[in-house]
Amino acid sequence: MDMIAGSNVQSPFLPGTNIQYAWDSTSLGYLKTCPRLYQYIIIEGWGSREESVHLRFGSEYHTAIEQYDKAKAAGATHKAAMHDAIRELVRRTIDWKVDTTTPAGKYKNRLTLLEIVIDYLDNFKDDAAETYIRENGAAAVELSFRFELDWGPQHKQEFYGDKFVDKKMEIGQPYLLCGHLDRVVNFNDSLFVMDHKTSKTTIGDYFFDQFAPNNQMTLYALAGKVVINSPISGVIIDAAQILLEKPHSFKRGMTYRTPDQLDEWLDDLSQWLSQAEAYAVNNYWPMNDTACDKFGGCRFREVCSKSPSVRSVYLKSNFTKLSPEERWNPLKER
Amino acid sequence: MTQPNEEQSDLDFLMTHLANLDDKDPGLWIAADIDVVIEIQRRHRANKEAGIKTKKPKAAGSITLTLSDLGFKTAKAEVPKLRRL
Repeated sequence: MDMIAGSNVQSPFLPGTNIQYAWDSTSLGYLKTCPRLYQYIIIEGWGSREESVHLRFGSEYHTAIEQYDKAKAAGATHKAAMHDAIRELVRRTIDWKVDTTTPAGKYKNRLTLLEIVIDYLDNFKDDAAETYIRENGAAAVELSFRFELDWGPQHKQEFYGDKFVDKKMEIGQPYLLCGHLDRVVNFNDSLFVMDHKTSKTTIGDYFFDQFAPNNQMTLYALAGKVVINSPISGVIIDAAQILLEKPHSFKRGMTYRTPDQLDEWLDDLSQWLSQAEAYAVNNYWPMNDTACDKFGGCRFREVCSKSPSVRSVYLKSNFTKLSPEERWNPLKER
Repeated sequence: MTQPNEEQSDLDFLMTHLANLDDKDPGLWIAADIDVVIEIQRRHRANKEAGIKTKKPKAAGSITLTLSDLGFKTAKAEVPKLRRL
């Protein structure tokens, strides 16, 4: 196990390699979307200022709702739980300055954050989805998970008789799946993982359709099952639309996963992780040029559209190379 | 709560109030400081629901407001004192 220099955070890579053994839905999503995108963000650590606005907004939104949910689960009134969550939100964001003339900053800034959190908490004052209380008495809110898979990088398979058999891993490090579940809830006598999302776009069927199939939601359904040790029916997408002129809009959608779907996802995962290992060994992450226009256009599209010889110039001018401890790391604690 | 005048919007109120809070030690914030934030947003939401167009906020600090301007009773916060022996 390798530590990132100058920090107490473990590296998600095998020592001295770019072979990632600790994965979360974000890094896996980049790999599946485009190996080059994965290379730029996860391997090389390129980031942008605009991206940090989205990350900060999402993180503060989650934290405020988490504090409220924990207080409510502990017996606090709506008023008291909300007061404390808002007080902490105001305090945490004292130094958060956003350029509100940018497209990201116009929608995601301290004011819109306070607005949408207050509106959300009022909207779900009498929430039909109840926070699940774990066997240890703790509310299942903001659950970090980390579990091992039964295979790891650099494992070998050999053909014996009529089937492939896994040989012992050479270095003994299994793959880890990591992440955070916003909340586990009991809804209509079934358990669901609840995931909070904020969006500028309209929340309707088109929005919810993107979550089936979906890498993140399948991982969360799987993780919920492992962490809670009970069957999880699926994930409730708890979506909030940020609106400037109209009231913020809140809608929930469900996405279900059967045990067979979870098994299939794990089978696919073994192929993806083998592929990731091969990219790392070859030190080459190919571009998936069918993904560049997805999700409103890849942030690296301008870089990838240039000739390979000049791409580094565009990377340096449009992005900042984050230090190893600042980079996205599935092993970093929240 | 005092209504903003025609030149002021709820967002102006909120921004100014937040700017005032930011200048204070969070340890000295009183419950009413946070109640104001929540109440202004609730009123802002009600206006949006009623279809009242939101006035764009001015730059932070352009209006000076106090809690009593907003109709809240203010309790004097305790300030730590150093006493010489």
